[in-house]
Amino acid sequence: MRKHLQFFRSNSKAGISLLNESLSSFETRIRVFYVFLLYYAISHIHEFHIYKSVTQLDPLWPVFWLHFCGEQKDLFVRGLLAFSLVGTLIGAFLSKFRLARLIAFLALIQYLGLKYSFGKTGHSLHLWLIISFLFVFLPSGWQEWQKLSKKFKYQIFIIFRTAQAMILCSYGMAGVGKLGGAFYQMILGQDHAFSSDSLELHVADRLLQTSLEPILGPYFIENTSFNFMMMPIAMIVQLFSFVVFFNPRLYKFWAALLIGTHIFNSLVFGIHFNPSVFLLGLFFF
Amino acid sequence: MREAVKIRKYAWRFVFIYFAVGVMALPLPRHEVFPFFSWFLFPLTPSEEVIYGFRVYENDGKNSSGEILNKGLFAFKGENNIDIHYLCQRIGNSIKTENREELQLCIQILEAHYVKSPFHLELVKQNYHPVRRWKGEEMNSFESVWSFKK
Repeated sequence: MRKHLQFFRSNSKAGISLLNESLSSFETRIRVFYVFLLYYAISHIHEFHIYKSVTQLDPLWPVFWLHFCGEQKDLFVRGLLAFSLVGTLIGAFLSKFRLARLIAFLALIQYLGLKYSFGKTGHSLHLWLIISFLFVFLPSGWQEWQKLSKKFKYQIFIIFRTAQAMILCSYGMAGVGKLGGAFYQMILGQDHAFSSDSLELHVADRLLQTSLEPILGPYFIENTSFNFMMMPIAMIVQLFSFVVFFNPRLYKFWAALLIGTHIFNSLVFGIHFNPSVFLLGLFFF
Repeated sequence: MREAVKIRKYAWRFVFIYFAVGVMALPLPRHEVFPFFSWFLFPLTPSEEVIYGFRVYENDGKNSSGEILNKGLFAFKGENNIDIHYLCQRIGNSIKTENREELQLCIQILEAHYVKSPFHLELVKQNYHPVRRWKGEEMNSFESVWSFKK
């Protein structure tokens, strides 16, 4: 990023051309980002019925206000669900306005706040949420970036690059967690991520918890020949995401590897992070 | 250009703060403060674990053989949803730590969304090796902790 900035700072023709090229690509991606939020909200309409008789919640802070709705809670929950649809529609349709982007962010945080107020917080939409917050700070008129001054062009550039950093850092942190956990368990003398049976232990544990039988899960419990390298490979791919941020030439390749880990998780663990796959494609392909 | 450098500094701070808060929230009961998250996913390899589970004798008036299952009977968010597993661990841990407030909240959520009365559940503490258990071996130990009936 620093190299990019230095390049732009030089005010050379090549620098300006590179900035314009980047912004042209970012513009489409940001538009698609907001269309996806709408798609996500609409694709969850079939789940709305589970919220129709909400009586007890373990509310996350964004929906703490539901505590004060008394017997009218049902009504307010319906209002919240309607807001999630309308807010993301406004975001997709009017994303050039900061207010519309703020509304889209609020709609998403409210919906996720409700969705995760039943005892467990899911994470497949966390990055979308954080990035929708970041995008609130895009300058006015970002869609017509050609007309903007250099300062605002940099602002769009940096915000988009920050979103990319957030995505890669989240994977990097997953790698740090696994590495730290492995050392911790090594010290305690327990099975750890580098143990030859680590993968089958994880898979069996998950399948017992969910009673699921994903298509390849049982296979990896029964056939353990290559399992010894699976966890270390996943760890390396995740850990080096930190480094990849500084090397845009590796973006596509690394995003494909990370998507590969998601496909593996879907087939083996039955853990589906589909929005994250889309996010990787949108920001790095 | 000075503004661009300033924005870049804010951007890095934002990224750093997000993950720092995520890591600092790890000791909390939920291990995070939504939407800050450490992203430490599957950091520990499970082996001989102590895990809480529900043994279901009756739900929605239908009798059951007392199997330890999440499937079907807890179909609030769809079959095989992992949420009930986490709620179950929270109930077990709140009993262990005598956190009555947390226990009451979890039981209210369980009753309101995951089971239908009349029901009879038993919270059990299990110790097993995941692979051996998955292949059908007996558990290392099995202990009844609590019984819920309504």
